[in-house]
Amino acid sequence: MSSPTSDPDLVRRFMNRPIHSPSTGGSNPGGAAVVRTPFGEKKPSSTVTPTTPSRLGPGSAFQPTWSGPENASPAMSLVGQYANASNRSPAATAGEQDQENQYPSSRIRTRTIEPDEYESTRKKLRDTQYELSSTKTELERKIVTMEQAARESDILKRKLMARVDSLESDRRFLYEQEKSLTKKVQTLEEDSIHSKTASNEIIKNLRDENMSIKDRLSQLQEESREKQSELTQRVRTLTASLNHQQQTLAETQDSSHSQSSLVAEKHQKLAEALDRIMELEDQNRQLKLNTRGMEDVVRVQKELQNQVAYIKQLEGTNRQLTAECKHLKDTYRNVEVLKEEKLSLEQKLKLMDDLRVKCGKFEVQNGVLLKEKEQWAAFLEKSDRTDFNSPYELAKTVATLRGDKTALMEVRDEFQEALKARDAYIEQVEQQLSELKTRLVEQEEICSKQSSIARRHEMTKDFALRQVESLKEQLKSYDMEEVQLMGGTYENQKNIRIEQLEKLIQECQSKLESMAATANRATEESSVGSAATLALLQTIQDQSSVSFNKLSAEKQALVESKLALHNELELLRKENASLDAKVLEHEIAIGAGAFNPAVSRVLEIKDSPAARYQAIRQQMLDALKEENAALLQSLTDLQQQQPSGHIFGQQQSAFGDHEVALQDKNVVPIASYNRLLGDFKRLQEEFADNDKRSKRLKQSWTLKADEFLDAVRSLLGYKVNFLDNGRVELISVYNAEEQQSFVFTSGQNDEGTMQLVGSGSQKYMEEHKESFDHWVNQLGSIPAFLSRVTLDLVEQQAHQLREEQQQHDQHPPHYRLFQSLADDDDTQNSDMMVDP
Amino acid sequence: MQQQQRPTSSRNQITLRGSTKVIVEFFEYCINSLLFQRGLYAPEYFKMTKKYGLNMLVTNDPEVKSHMREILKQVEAWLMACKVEKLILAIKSKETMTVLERWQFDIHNTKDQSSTINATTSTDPFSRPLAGQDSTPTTTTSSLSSPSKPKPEKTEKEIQTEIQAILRQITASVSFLPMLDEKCTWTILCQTEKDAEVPATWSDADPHLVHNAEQVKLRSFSTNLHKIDALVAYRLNDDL
Repeated sequence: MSSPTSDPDLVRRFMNRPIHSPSTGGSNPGGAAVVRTPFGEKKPSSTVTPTTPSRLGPGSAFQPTWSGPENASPAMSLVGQYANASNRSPAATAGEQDQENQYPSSRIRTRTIEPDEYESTRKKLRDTQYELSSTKTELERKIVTMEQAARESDILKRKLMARVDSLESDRRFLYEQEKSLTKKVQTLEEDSIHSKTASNEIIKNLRDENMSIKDRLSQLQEESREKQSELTQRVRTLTASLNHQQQTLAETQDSSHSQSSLVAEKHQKLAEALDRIMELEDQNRQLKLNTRGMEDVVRVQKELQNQVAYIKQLEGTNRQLTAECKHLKDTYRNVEVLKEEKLSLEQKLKLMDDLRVKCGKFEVQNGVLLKEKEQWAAFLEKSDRTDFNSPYELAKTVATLRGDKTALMEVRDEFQEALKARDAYIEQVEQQLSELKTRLVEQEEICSKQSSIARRHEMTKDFALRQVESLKEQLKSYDMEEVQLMGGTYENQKNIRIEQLEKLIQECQSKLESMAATANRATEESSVGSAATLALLQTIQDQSSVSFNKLSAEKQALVESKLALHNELELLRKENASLDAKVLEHEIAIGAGAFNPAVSRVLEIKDSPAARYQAIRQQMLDALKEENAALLQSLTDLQQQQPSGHIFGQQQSAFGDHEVALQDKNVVPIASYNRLLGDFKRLQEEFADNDKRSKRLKQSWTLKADEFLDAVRSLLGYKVNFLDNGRVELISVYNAEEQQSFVFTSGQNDEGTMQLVGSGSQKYMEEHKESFDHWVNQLGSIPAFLSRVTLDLVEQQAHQLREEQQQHDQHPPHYRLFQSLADDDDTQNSDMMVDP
Repeated sequence: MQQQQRPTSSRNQITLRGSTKVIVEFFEYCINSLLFQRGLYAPEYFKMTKKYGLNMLVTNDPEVKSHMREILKQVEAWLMACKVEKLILAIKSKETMTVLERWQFDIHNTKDQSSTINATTSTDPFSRPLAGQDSTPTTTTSSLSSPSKPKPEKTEKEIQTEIQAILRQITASVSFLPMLDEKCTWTILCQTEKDAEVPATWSDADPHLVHNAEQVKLRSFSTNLHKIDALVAYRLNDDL
């Protein structure tokens, strides 16, 4: 690289380097790439570039290789090559260069074998040597020119240096100047800052003053306003009084006018009179002078007297008028007094108004109390005495009524007990009666038995008498027979016998008599017994009548008590009604949530949503309170820090230092930070909640969307897939293969129109090209096209099914596969059936 | 529960445990339904399920679900101990914390009349603790009550029909209740007897009275042991 060699390639390289890449670093991979690429057209002045690659021979190794296909643009591949080269590591490029160095020598070695070639190369060498020399000379020339140029440039440089020096000095001078200026500026700035602060202070002071002045002004304005209002009030009153006075004045003026006119008249007259007096005096004098008769004087004197009298009269009227004027003044004073009175009355009126308001209040209170009273009286009916003056009385009467009631109840109980005792007694008596009755019946039975026995005895007596008769007749007949037959042999015997028989008869008779007597006695006894029973009955009757009387009396009493009880019942009913009303009231109260704390308790879970919310609110409130307290504290601190003095000034300064105060870190208390933290947390929770909600919504939306897609699938026979870019893929459910699909995209600007942009497979698209042309291109209906496709597919499937069945008849195992496919379809169809 | 009973008992008897279960289930669905209908949670917090022959909306929010489960578990325990008097769902305004609506379910224990019949006739395993619990009144009263004609036992279907009716009525009641146009929150109160056992998670609470209340009595339903009366009290708008 340092010295030119005979190798043409090396020469070329030597020549190339300085020209093509002025920065001959050599290690730069970019530089290496530049060497390899023929950028001759960029540097037409180069002498080496005309050498063709064929002349270079081994230079073909440096030719760029095209990796791309032939029709690709060369520029592109060149760029690629360049990039490749640039990517290469420096070491790699160094290796390449070594290879390049070695390569030509090996070539020369091989070429020495052939003499022709040697000749030609020698020739070439000569040519190149010539070229080299020419280029050398040229180069030398160039060097000379370059040296000249260098010298020129040196001169130029020197000149420039000189200029630079001058400029440097200038610059230094300027720098110094600038320094001084900056210093000045700094001082000025400081001054300005000082002045600013001073002016700020002044401004502050002025503001303070301004504020104070303003406040004073406002105060003064207020005062003036007050005064103005006061004055206007006074003016008003004064004008009113003035008016009044003017009126009175006008009146008085009128009167005085009339009086003055009178006075003027009088004056005139007086003047006239005086004139006349003067005249008369003159005349008098003249007369005196003339000393003419006294008659005139007398006349004049008379006239004078008249005049004097007249004047006196005038004076009297004048006095009268002044008196009148005085009187009017008095009346005016009276008017003033009346005004005062009026004011006092107005005040009284105000008081009365207050009283009226109070009265209204009392009326309201009265209404409330009346309502209360009505409520008290609500339990009482109209017919009841509602003239209770106080609930106390009512309560008292209720209490007394209750007492009465209990007393009456007791009385009733007593009566009931007495009644019960009576009932028991009556029962006893009745029992006695029934006993007696049974005894009577028994006695009567005995009696009847006795009488029947007596009758039987009588009958036996009759029978015995008849027997005696018959026996007597028998005896007689026997006697007769004996007399006739025996002739009295058995007379004695017979007599004895008769006597015996007679005795027997007598005995019988006595017996009979005794029997009759006993019978009689028995009847007598029985009659005596019945009498006894009768007497008993009588006594019982007597007793019962007595008891009846008693009972009736008791009944009376009971009726009375019944009445009393009835009244009580009424009372109780009323009470019941009122209690019902109370029960209703209580029911309503219970419905509203009231309960009896003595019996039951209301429990609540501590962690209820309401409690949670309350707790959050409480927390917020506490935090705010804390913050408020802290802020107040800091505010008071700030106020204490301010110089105490003029209130307005303080306010002003507080206002002015507001910005400064905010910068103070103590101004924002920790409490507000905590509060903000709490707020933040709460908001985060809210956010999480919202997040949850939106997630739920999304879930429900996806569910709904799935449902919708299912509905579309089962109703329209297409599975809809939404692809990116807003494209929609439709896959017919009658298509077993996934890639057989249509892809639609929405039209320009999302107008809702769809365009078919492709399908899963080209073949599928071509299959339906005809129907697409017909339905979409001609009739402009995509749904119709899709329906057509569906129909085709269904028909195809049906056809296939038929074929399969036919095949199945021959080959049964195939059936199963198709059956499963048909089953799938069945499910789809069933979906369709169910969904509507 | 009922299915378990079927093989053991010829008639569908609902014992205390069974009755409690029915009631708790009713409360669960009822409260869920109310939470949905009164708009306390957004509709997406609910999913539809079929129950009592109706489409019921039940929350699917895990927080609300677990909260409800906790409450109902305790209510069930109290019901088993016969200590519950009322269950109340109070709806409150978030802003003012005033009670706007109060759904009250009165629970009447009709055990005293019917348990005797149950105890004597039941062969159900669940009725054993009950029978042991009040064995003395059973023996004394059964002899008295047996000659009197026992009430016909309610079948599961009858109870379900009653529950269906009450739930329908609750759904319909939305039409007359005032609109809840402010943000609301809710709480469940349980009115128990004084001597009920109270776990630590529960505490005595404000009865949540409704002021200026209008109330509407709803239908009731009863099992063989309990009778549930429903009532809604709601705050009338003052400006109306």
